[in-house]
Amino acid sequence: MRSKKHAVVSLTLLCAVWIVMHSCASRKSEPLTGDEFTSTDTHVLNGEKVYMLHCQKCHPGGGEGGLGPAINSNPSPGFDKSEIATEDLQDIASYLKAWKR
Amino acid sequence: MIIAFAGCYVIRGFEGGGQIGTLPERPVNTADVALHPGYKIELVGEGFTFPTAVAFDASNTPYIIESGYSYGEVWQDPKLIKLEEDGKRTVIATGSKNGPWTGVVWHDGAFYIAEGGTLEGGKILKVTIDGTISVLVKDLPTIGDHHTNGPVVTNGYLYFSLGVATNAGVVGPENKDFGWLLRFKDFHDIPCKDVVLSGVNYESDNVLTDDPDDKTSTGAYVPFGTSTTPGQIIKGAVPCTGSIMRVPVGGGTPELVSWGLRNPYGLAAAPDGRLYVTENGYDDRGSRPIWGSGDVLWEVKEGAWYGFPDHSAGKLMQNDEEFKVPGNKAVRSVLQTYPGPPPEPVAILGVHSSSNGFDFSKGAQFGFAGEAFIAQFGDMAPNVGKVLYPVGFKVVRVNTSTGVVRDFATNKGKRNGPASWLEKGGLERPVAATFDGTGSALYVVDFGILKTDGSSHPQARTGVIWKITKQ
Repeated sequence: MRSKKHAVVSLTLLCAVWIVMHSCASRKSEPLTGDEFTSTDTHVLNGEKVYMLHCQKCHPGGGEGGLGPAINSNPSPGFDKSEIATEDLQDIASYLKAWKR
Repeated sequence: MIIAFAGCYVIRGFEGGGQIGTLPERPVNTADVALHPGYKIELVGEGFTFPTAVAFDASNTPYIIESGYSYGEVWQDPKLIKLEEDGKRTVIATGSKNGPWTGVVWHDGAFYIAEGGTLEGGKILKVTIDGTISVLVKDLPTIGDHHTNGPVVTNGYLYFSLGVATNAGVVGPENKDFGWLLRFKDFHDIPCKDVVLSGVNYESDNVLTDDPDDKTSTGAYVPFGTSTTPGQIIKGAVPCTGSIMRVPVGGGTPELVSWGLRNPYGLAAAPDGRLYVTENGYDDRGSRPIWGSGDVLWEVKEGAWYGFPDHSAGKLMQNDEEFKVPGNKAVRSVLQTYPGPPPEPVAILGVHSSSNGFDFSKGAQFGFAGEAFIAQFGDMAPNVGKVLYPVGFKVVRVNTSTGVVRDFATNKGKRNGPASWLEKGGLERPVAATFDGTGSALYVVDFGILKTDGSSHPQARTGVIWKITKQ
């Protein structure tokens, strides 16, 4: 009973931190930054393509919140290598870092 | 991490863009819209009631259609309205109580309009410049959740699309809330070709009886309250729901182009002649709720099956955590065998973004030649499920070679959302993006305010037409 209560408190705290963290995320899309995003880095370009396939639907606008939380201030992909290859995960991280510009 | 996210997701409230409390007025202010660098936006007209599309005649004069029907079971007269440069508006034609009019195209001296078909079934109408309406196609089975959409003319054919009756193939209690289940108790989805069912059925309240404790069981492709069995064959028929069809522009017999789509909404031909369609993904609602289903931009391929009702964006949903509503059971397939492998999507767009009418930039006059500009109507949470932040309410551009989606026009502010939610004067619910005859101006049809609180509350006279050009 006590461990269940502990788990609920921990989860609530984790959520609170997560909500505060993500509510601070700023919007990075081109109309708002006034900059067209370009890159010649093949890892960034591949990362953007893979992001569009796996991540964009829940974090549209280059990492804004939607169905999921905003991730444009915390560029760390939440997939594991069984879903996306390690190299592609690294490329997504490179893309989000570049996008954060 | 997944458990923590699911827990947080469940704890968080609904944050849909339509959840706006009291209904506001609609101030319009172009300064509240952020555009890709080097572009400007102007107001063309305001005060329209549920505008859904624009077309241009040979002299490049815009004509707007007002849908005449909106979710929320609100019927008005559908209208085709000429909008002159000095702001003068002339009603060219008025339709009947069978909206929504969802799309219009000008071709060879006449307008062609997709009539949704809420009461009489979908139609394709031809309207001459003197306002005479004739029916090119009728009796399309779109009296359910989704309607007859399109149209576009290319290669001598008029292409149009038909949405499915339901969320995910199974008629449920929420279809009573939409309104149509009480009107058409036997209506359900119709496959274009024979399909074999897995026999999965869904128990729900029997909303067709007065007994609040009465339960019933419903399977896929059958009327509400009808169970199915493993191996049961549902005969295909044309016209069918969830399909793209075409008819010779001069008239003739409609023919099937492709099927297995959920709500194919916008149709547009690229400069290279290829045809594309936007598809609205599944919702988290009804007897068979689906989570995390993105909208899709597809290339239209003749004869292709696109995956409805067991795939999302080409991916099988059965037992996939990605599509399981938090706290619910995993998705089970309602088909025993699949008619074929779905094609690869061109681009996957935001879940619940309602990516709708779109057009392609033809060249340097506007820039981004060959890219698709898609109007995103925006989420209808909580009616379609939960979102953590408003989704859509903007115009995005899509590179069809890479699938990369970028914002093109969006509201300013720390958060994304419709103008009413942000309490500003920018974009509300863009429903169509269409280039004028010169290809230098992108017109954005903005449906206006639609409040969502479990029901839908569209606001008359809040629709706006915007124009975006290169500076």
